[in-house]
Formats: sequence, structure tokens, C-alpha cells
Amino acid sequence: MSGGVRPPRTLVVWCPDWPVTAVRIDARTPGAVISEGRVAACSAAARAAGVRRGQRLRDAQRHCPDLVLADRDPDAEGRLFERVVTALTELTPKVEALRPGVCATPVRGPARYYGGEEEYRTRVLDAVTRAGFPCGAGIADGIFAAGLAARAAFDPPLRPPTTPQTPPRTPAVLPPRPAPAPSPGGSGPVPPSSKALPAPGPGVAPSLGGSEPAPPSPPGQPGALPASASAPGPRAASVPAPGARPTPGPASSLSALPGAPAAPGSAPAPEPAPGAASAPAPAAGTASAPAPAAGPAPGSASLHGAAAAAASARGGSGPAPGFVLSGMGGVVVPRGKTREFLAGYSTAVLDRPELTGLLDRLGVRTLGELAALPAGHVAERFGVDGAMVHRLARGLDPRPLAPRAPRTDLSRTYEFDPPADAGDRVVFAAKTLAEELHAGLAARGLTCVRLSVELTWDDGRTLARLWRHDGALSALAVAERVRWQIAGTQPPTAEEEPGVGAPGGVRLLRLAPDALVPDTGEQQALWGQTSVTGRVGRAAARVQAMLGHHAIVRPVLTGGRGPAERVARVPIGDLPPEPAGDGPWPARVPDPAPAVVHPAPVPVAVTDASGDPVTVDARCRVSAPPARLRSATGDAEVAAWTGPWPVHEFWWDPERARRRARFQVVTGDGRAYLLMLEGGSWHLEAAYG
Amino acid sequence: MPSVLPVLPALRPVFPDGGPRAGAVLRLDDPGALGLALVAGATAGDDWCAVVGMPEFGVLAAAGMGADLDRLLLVEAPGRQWPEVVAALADGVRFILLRPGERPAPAMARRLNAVVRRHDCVLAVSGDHAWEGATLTLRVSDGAWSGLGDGHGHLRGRRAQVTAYARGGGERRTWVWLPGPDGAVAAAEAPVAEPAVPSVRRIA
Repeated sequence: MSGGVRPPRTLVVWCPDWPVTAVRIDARTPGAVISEGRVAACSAAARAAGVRRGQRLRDAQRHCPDLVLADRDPDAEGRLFERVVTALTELTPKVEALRPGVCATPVRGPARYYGGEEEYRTRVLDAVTRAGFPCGAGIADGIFAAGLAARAAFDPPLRPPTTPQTPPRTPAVLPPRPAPAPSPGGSGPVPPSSKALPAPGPGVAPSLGGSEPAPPSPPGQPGALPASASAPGPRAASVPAPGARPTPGPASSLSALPGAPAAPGSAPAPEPAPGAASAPAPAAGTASAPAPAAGPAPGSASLHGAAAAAASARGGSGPAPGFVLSGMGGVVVPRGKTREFLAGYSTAVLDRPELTGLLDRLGVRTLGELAALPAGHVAERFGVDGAMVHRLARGLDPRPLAPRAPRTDLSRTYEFDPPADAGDRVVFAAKTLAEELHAGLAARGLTCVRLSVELTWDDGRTLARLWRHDGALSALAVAERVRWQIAGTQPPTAEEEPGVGAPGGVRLLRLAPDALVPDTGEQQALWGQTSVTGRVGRAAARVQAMLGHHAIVRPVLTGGRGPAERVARVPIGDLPPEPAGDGPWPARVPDPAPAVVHPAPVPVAVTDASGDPVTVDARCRVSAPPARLRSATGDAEVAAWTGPWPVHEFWWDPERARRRARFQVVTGDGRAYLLMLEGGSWHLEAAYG
Repeated sequence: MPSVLPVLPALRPVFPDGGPRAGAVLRLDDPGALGLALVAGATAGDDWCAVVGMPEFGVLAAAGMGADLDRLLLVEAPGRQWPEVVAALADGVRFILLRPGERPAPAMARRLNAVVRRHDCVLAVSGDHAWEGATLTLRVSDGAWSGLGDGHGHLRGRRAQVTAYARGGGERRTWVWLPGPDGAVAAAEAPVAEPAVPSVRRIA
């Protein structure tokens, strides 16, 4: 494999027609799951009758009048799939559900443990089938290829790489074709090359025995998929297939008959001929028995025999010759052979209809053909998406590897049993936890600039608070913060919610580093902005613990006209806004600034000598000189005044437009005020002292 | 650590030691400008200041008096937890300007005085409530604004007298511009008969 890192070996388990399985419709029952008036998925029997995904309900019923219908139930899909995942976790701890119906596991460890990839795959199949679900499992490099490998039995590639293109849509009346040139005999285009693997080709290990070589496909058995109809199996009756149009590509995943391993999805009636089953299968004795009775009998003990028989029967018609193909559905693609494996697939499996359509018109119909194109040209012509698809087709990871340190969980948790009533106990535990946390961080050369402290009380109430700080928090400092958090939150809780009662003791304490940065040590700024550090920082953090993050702020000067507008308040720990340029602020209130700036302007009344309210007209003329200033707290005579200073702000924005006039007045008691007239009402904006 | 909190030069005459001693508790009898001037003096050194319970604190005016806003913390709404806030801040800052939201119990005031003394901090209490155990009371009186006419001009400055009443009985006075025309606090000469800028009518 050239030009890239090979993706890790991956096993994908794929349960066909999962939405249908989830609503408990048997594969033999013609049934469909409906979503928004269209067929979302259908059973194999229904598919055989002509029902297709995406069909309108009416059309589906026309094809299959006795169609059993059910609404799509995503919850049930997820719920039921949990059983598959549970079954898998018996074998390997790392199971990643990709979506209901499909999950993946890494292969390296389990394959070693179980003695080989094929052995592992067989066990997976066994486990899932025993749980009662038909499935396919495939192993390849990367999830994409492994997914196709899992579906290989149900959904084989368009054609083997070297065979001339034979559209699988051909009605199933073709005479049996001989197996294509690359037969599993070892002379295929995909000679087994890797050393440590269950050798494909002659060394093919059927799932059951594992040791006996799988013979090449029987002469009577069609090598190419479309032909199998010529040998109608015993189940052909239950799956009336002739005429059914096989769909290649992803859509054909629906065309699989669950439990019928031999149903190569797109093949119309893909039943293994009994003769074929018994002839080549190494486990012929056991296989021949279940095969005729076969039916989708998941969980039955005989399934394996049938599977093995069926698989080996189809030996030549598999995804690509030369791959281990055994068990019930699915293949093992040898390491490094992913590209060859993928080569036979139609570009439709990429699930990018637009791109596929374009490629199709350009004559690129299979992944092999796509992979043969120069990467640079693909990227040039099809952009990022094209480049990604090209990598997929070449059996590489869809995206080049971006090495990144694994994210480990560095948080620490302490459970109190019985719940801790005394704060001291929690604080003490916090100190120990913080020491552990720091040890973990220091071992990685990290420090955290934000720490999340989560306290859970006995009644289930949880309080998480983020603690931000400039440098490293010592264990003692963490314990201190935990204490503040307890002290700062408990009393108000009890006061504000008297009905709730005491929250009980603390049950759980969790410390989680929130923002990790490399520990570069601490360097004090020589000059420039003063940061809140040391004792001041601790004091500020304590206040934040009591009153919340926004309770303690630092003032920052910004642009504006009024005295209140020119000050922004930034909570400690937040970054101050960009300093606003001291641009021209016409009609700015002249210096000196008022000493008392009311957060909300105080309503006042300003009257002239005759007791009428003073007004300002549109031309900024004052109706009469102000004579008295009356507020809620007092009544004073105006000794001197000036104004109006009109301000018309945001006139371009009707939502924010403000039109105001400011006055300065000095009252008889020697005090000076900044007044504001807006919309006919007077307000006291600030006082000068 | 110097034992005297730095204050603006114009205010030094009212303090026997040139500034409030560490651990002192001042009572301010003025709604705004005097507190601003003290904050401006304290942050001009290397010390941090905190203002508690004064959402109307004129930050801009403090900056005009020379305050370094980088070393100023505002706790605008401490609610009923103001004593705890003051106690917490006393550990970190050098000067706290406080306006209690409620009448402080004498015991509470004494406790906070002790906290302030322990941390060598200076607490200045403004507002209408009395404060038990204040070492010095500062009062601004005879303020006269200049610059404003009858419909013209704009406020330029206020000359006022600042008086410090010590607990023992002594008192010291000085005349200052609080603030001056450039916003700063400067020493002023005592008015002779009429203010130097005679545009404000003073009503006795």
C-alpha cells in the first residue's frame, strides 16, 4: 500500500435490515418499516417481492399486497441493538456502535487472544447469532472496508476486479458462469502476502473447522453472483426471487436475507444448492443437514454448519477471490489487501450520489477504477470530498493521520459513604484528590488553567463550578476552593428554598481539569497589564465563590459619551474587551467626571419658576430656566444650570435609537448633578459630589 | 510593608501621619468624591483596592483623579454577605471602600475592624450608617462648584474643605479642589470672601 498510513485492522458487525428486525418482523415475512410515507427498510421477503427502500407506501403495497407494515422506531432500534453490543462485549471490551445495526471493534488485541482474525470473527458471529440476530462480520483495514467486508455475503461487489463488467441486473437466467479468473486457488490477482494472517486462497479457513482448506468453488456453483438462480435452493420458494431486481451498492444492503448467509444480496435467489453445499464444504456432514432446513434460523446450533457450507459453496462468488470467506456472511480481508478487495465494488457504496453520478458519467464505475486515478488529479477535479473518497478507495484512512495525544481522563472522584455532613471532611478529601490530580497532570507535563469542582449532595443536587486561575493551583488552594464552594452555596440554598430542606451531606466530590495547557512554569510580566494574582486572586476567587463569577469585576474604560457608558465591567478571570479607540465623541460630557454614577437613572422632576415642568423642543430650546429639582429624597432650588446638550445616538437603528438632552445643574446646597431629559421625563444620571 | 496607606498629596495634611495607618478604619461623610480620592491615592502606589457595595462608584472620576484601574476590584452587589466579602478581600487588597447595605451591628463592625487590623488593610466606610470603632472621620464641607452659569458654561471644579476628626478629639482641615478642572485633586487656597471663580451663587 503506497502513500499513506494504513488504517488499523477493524472488525465490523453488520445486522441486515435492522429497522425491520427492531420491530420484530421476520425476514421471511414480507414486511416494511415506514417513515414519512416511504419505505425506510424492508425484510428480505418483501424485497424479493419488489419492495424497495424509498418507495412510496402505495407502490410498495402494489408490489406486495400482504406487506406487514410498521412505523419506524428508532428507540427500539437502539434499544435492541444494545443486546448485540452486550453480546460483543463478552468478547472484547472496546465496542463502538456506529449506528443501530452496525458496530465496530478493533481487531489487534482480540485476534491475538482468540488465535487469529478468522477465529475472532467466527466468535463474534457466534455470539451475535446466539443473541438471536443474524449478522455479518468482516475484518479489513479501516471501518469502511470492514463494513463492506461484513456485508460481503449479502452485498458482494459489482464484479471481481479482473472480470469484465457484468451488470448484476441481468435477470437470473444466465447459465452458470465459471468462476472468474482469480479463483481462490491462489493464482488470483490477490495472492496472500501477509505473513501473520490466516492465509487466504488455498489456506482459506472455513469458520467451523478452521483448519481444513476450503476447496475452490464447486464446478457446479456459479462463480458470479447473478447466476446462482439457476440452482434454486430449497429456500427459493420462500424467497421468490426471480425477477427481483438486485440493487448494487449500499441500497443492496437491504436486499439481504437475514439469516440466510448464502444470500448474496444482489443475487435474486441466492440459495446455495444443496448439492453445492454438501460437495465442497469441509464440514459437509453437518452442513448438509441444516442446509435444506435452513431458513433464517438464527441462534440454532446448526447455523454454523449451514453458514460454513453456504459460504464455501459461494467461495468463488465472494467479494473478491482470494479472501477468506466463511462463516455466515462476511470476509476477512488480509492485511494490506484492502485496495484489491474494494476494487470490485461499485462507486455507489461510497454513498455519495452526486459524486457517484459524476464519476459514472466519466466512466469510473468501480472503486478500483477510482483508485487507479492519480490522487492529485482527483483532488483537483473533485475537491476535498473527492480526495477523501479516493483515499477510501485506495484502502487508506479517509483523512490523513493527525497524530494527537490520547485524551485521558485526568479527573478524580471521591465518594463519601456515608455522606459527609461536615465541610471539613470534604475539604480534607479534596486536598488528597487535588494532590492526585496534580501528580497526574505533572506526569504529563501539563497544568490546568481551569478546574471544575463538582459537588453532589445526598438529595441529588449537584453543583459544579469552574475555577479559573493563572497558574497552578496547589492542593491546598484546591481544598480552599472546595470549602468556599460549600460555604458559599449551602446557606443560600436553604434560605431560598425553604420547602426543600437541608440538602443533606455531600455524597460525591469530583475534580476535573477543564482546560489543559503545557506547564511552562510561571513568568511574571515585567510590565504591561497587571493580572490578578497571588493573594488578590485568592481573595477575588473567594468572593466569586460566595456570589458568583460576575460579582467581582474590574473596571475598564471604553468609548462613549455618558459617564456610565465609558466604563465596562469585566469579571475577574475574563479577558477585558479590546480597548476602544478614543475616537471623537461629539457631545461627550466634559470633564471632570461625576463621582456618583447611578447604575439606573433616578427619576426626578425639574420645574421652572412657575412650577411647570421644563421641556426642550425639537430645536433644543428650553421652555424656561429650571428652578427646582425634586427627587424622591429631597427638593432643592437650582442655583445654576447649563444645557441642553443634545445627544442623538443610533439614529440609524430604530431599535436602539435614543434622543436625549443633558443638563448640568448646581443646587442651592452646593451639590452638582448631571440630568437627562428623554421622552419628556427627567432623570438623574449622575451626581458630582 | 509601609505602615501608611499612600494618599493623594492634597489630602495628606488631614492625616497626622501623612495617610491612614495600616489597620485604620475611616468613616467618610461624603457620598462620592472623597472615597474616589482615597482609591486614587492607594492604587497610585503598588496596592490593590476594592470597592464593595457601591454600584454608583464613579470609575471615570477616579481615573481622572489618578486611580490605576488595573488594580481596582468592584463588588457592586454583595447583598447581605458584605461582611464576608470584606473579610475575604481584606486578605488581598490594601484599601477597601465600603458602603454597607444595612445598618451594621456594632459587634459585626468590631469584628471587621479586627480583620482589617490583622491584615494591615485600611477600611473606609461611607453611607448613612454609623460605624463602631472608626479611628478617623472625614467630612467634606463648604463645597462650591465653579464653571456653571445661568444656562451656559459647564462644571469645572469644586473647592471644598476636608476635615478629619480623630477619635481622640483632634481635627485637621484642608482646602482642596475635589475635583479640579482637569479632574485631579489639588490643594486649594482657602476662599477669601468670594470664590475665585464667582459664577456660582452660594445659598447659605
